[in-house]
Amino acid sequence: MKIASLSLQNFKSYREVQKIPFGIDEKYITIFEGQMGHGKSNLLNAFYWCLFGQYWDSDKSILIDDPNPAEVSLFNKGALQDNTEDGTILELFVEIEFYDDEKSKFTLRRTQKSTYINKLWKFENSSKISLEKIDARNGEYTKYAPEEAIGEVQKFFPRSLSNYFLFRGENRAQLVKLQGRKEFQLALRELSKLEVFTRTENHLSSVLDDLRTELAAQASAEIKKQMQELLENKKSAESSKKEFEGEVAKLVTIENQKKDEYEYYGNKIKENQIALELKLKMENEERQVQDLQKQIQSWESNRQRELTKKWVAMGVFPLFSEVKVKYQEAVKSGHYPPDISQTLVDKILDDLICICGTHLRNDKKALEKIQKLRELGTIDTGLLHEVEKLINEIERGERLIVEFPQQIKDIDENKRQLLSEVRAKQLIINGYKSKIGDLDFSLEELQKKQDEANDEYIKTREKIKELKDWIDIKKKEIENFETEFQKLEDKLDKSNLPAIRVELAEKALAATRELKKKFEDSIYKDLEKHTQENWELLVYDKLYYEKVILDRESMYFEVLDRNGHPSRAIMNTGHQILLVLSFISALIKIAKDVWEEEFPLVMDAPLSEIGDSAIPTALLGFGQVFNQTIVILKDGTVNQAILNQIKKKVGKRYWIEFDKKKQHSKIIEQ
Amino acid sequence: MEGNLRLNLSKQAYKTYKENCMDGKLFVQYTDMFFWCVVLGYKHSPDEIPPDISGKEGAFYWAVFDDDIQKPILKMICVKAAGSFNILSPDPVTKNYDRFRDILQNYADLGFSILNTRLGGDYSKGSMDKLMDLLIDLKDDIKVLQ
Repeated sequence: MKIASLSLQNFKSYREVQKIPFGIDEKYITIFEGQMGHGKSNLLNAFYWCLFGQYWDSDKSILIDDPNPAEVSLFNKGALQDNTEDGTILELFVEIEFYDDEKSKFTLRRTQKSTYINKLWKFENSSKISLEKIDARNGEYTKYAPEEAIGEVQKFFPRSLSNYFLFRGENRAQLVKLQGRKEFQLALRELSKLEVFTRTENHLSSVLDDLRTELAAQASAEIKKQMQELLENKKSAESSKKEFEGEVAKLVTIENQKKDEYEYYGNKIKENQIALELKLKMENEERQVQDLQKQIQSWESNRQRELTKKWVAMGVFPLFSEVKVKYQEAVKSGHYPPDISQTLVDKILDDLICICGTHLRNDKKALEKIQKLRELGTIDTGLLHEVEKLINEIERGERLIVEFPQQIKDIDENKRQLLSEVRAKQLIINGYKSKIGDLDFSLEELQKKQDEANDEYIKTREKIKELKDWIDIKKKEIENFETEFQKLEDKLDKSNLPAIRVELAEKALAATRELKKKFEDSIYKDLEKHTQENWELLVYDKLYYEKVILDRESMYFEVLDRNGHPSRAIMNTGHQILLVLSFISALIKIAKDVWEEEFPLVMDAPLSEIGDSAIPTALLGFGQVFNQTIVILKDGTVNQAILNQIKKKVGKRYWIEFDKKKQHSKIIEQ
Repeated sequence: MEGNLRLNLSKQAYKTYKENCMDGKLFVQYTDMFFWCVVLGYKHSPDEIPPDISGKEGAFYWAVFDDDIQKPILKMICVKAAGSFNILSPDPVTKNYDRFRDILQNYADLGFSILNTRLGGDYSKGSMDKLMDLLIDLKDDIKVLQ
C-alpha cells in the first residue's frame, strides 16, 4: 500500500486547502523541512487523525482517541478567530489517497464541523469518516458505510502499527521510550499472531479437562475418587497460577513504572544539574547585558546632552567668521590691539625732539606728563583680555563645531556596537533559557523521589520474584498431575471411547504446544535476524556495536559489543534512534509477511541527531524495509551533500513555512 | 565676566523652565534651554534686539554655561547685536554687565516663545526630533510666528 497524497484544510496550523502529493515507486522518499513551530508535527498529527481518529498531544506525551476539539485545538485558530458571525459553520478535513498492492485507489476523508452560536464555537462531538474505492481490475466504484470504512482502513493501517509507521520522535527520550518495550511487545503479539496459538492451547487444555472428567465418571470408585481429586487439585493449581500470573502482570507494570520514574528523576537530576550550570552562565550573561545597557543609557544621555547643549550652535555658525572679521578690522584700524598703539606711542616718544633740540626722554617732567597721557589714552585692559579670550574661544569653538557631527556619529556607532553586543548576548541567554526549561524541583526533592522510586522498584521486583517462584511451584504441581493422571489412565481400559478421546486430546494439545514453540522460535529468530539486517543497513558507523539479540524473557533487544557485553544502555542518542528504527523496520517486515501488505513509513524524528554522514545511509536503508518513506525534518537537516547522495530516490521535497498573519502553514514544493 | 553675572527669565518662561529642566527630560539644565532660546531668538531677529522682559524671575549664574561652545556663542551674539566688542566690558559706572545680560535675556525670551510653540509644550525626550527639525526649519517657523 502506498500513500499518494494528503489534503487538508482548517486542521491545526493548516488553514487553507492544500493537497500534497508524495513520492512513490522508484522515488519513494518525500522530505518535509521546516523551522520549529511552523507546523511539522501537525502534519504527522494529520495522518494520526485521518487514519485512526487519534491525536498525539506532545505536551502531555499522550495519544488521545477521538479528540474533542473543545479540549484539543484541532481547528485552525486563525479560521476560528476570523469567522465570528453568528451561524457560521467551519469544517476541517484531512484526506488521504492511497493505493493497495493491486493498485486500487482509496480515498479516506475525515471531517469535523463547528458552528458559531452566541459568541461561542460549538464543536461536533466526533469526527466523520468516509472511504471510497476505485477497483484497479474493473474500475468499479465503492463507497463504504462509516462503520465498514473503519474496518477496511484497519486492514491497511492496523492501529497496533500506528506507533511504527507513524513514527514520532519530537523528543529523544520520548522516542526511545514510546517505541519501547511495552508497545513493542503488544504490537509483536498482535502482529505475529502468537495469540492464536495461546488461545488454541487454552481451549484444548479445557477440552481435555472436560474429557478427563468424563473418563473419571466411568472408572471404578477408587480410581474415580483419585482422578477427581487430581482434577480438583489441578484446577486449583491452575487457578492459583493464573492468579499469580495476573498479579505478576500487574506488578510488572508497577515495576516498569517505577523503573521509568527512577530513570525520569535520574534524567531530571542530570538536567537540573546541567540547568543549574547553565543558569549560572546565563546569570553572568545577564549581568553583562545589564552593564552594557547601562553603558548604552549613558551614551544615550551623553548624546542627548551633546545635542541639546551644542547642536543649536550649528544654526549660528556664520557668527564665528563674522566676529573674526570684526576683530581683524579692528586690528587693521591701528587702534586695536592696544599693544600696537602703545608701540606707536613709544616710537613717537623715542623719536620726539623738542624744537629747542632737547630729546624728551631726557626731560623727566615732560616725560611723566606724556606717560600719564598715554595711560589715559589706552584701551581698557579688562576688555582687551575679554576680546582676546573670545577670539581664542572662537578658534576652539569653531573646531569643536566642525568636529561635532563626527562626534555624534561616533556616539551612535558606539551605541550600535553595544546594542549588537546586547542582541548577541540576548540570543545566548534565550538559548540558555530554552535549554534550561522549567526547573520545577529542587535537587534534594528530586533525589528523594528517585530514591523512593528505586525502593519501590526493588520491593516490586522482589515480590515478582516471589510470585514467579510460586508460579513455578504451581507449574510443577500441574506437571505432576499429568504424570499422576496418566498413571491412573494406564490402569483403565484404553479401548473405550472416553479414553480414546482423552488420548487424542492429549496428543492435539502436545502438538499445539510444540507448534506454538516452533512458531515463536521462528518469529523471534526472524525478528532478531531482521533487526540485525536493518541495523547493518541503517547504521553508517556501527563503532563497536556488533550483535543485536532478542531477550526472549523480556521480549526486548540488547546490543552486544565486540566483547559480548550488553551496550544498549550506554549507546549514544543517534545509535539509540537507529536501533529503535531497526526494531520497527523488523516488525514491519514481519507484519508484511503476516498481513501480506507493505507499509509506508511516516516519520517525524530528530534525524539530525544521528549525524550528517548517517542520514543518507538511513534514508536509503528505509527503502529496503518500507515501500515509501515520508520524513518530516528540522530545517537544514538535509544539506546539499546529503541531497546529492539521495536525490535519485527523492520524489518530492517540501518546505513548510508559517504565515503568522494568516495563521497558516504553507507547504511549498522545492 | 565670570564674576557674579546672573541671568533672569520672564515669569512665564520661568514656570516652563522650572517644570521641564531636569533629568529624563529634553533639557537637563536651565542653561541648555536658555542657550537654545537665545540662538533661536537671535536667528529670528538678528538686527533688532527684542524688548526688555517683564517680571524677572529664576536667576542662574553665567558660570554654569559650557565654556567650549555656549559661552563663546552667547558672547558673539552680544557683540554682533551690540555692534561692538565693548559689550564685553562692564558698565563704567555700575561696573556690572547689565547691557550684556539684557541682550541675552531678551533674545532668550523671544526664543522661548518660538521653542514653546514649536514643541507644543512637550519637553519630553520624545521631542528631540522636533528640536532638530526646529533648527533646520527655523525660517519657516519664524513665518508661522509672524
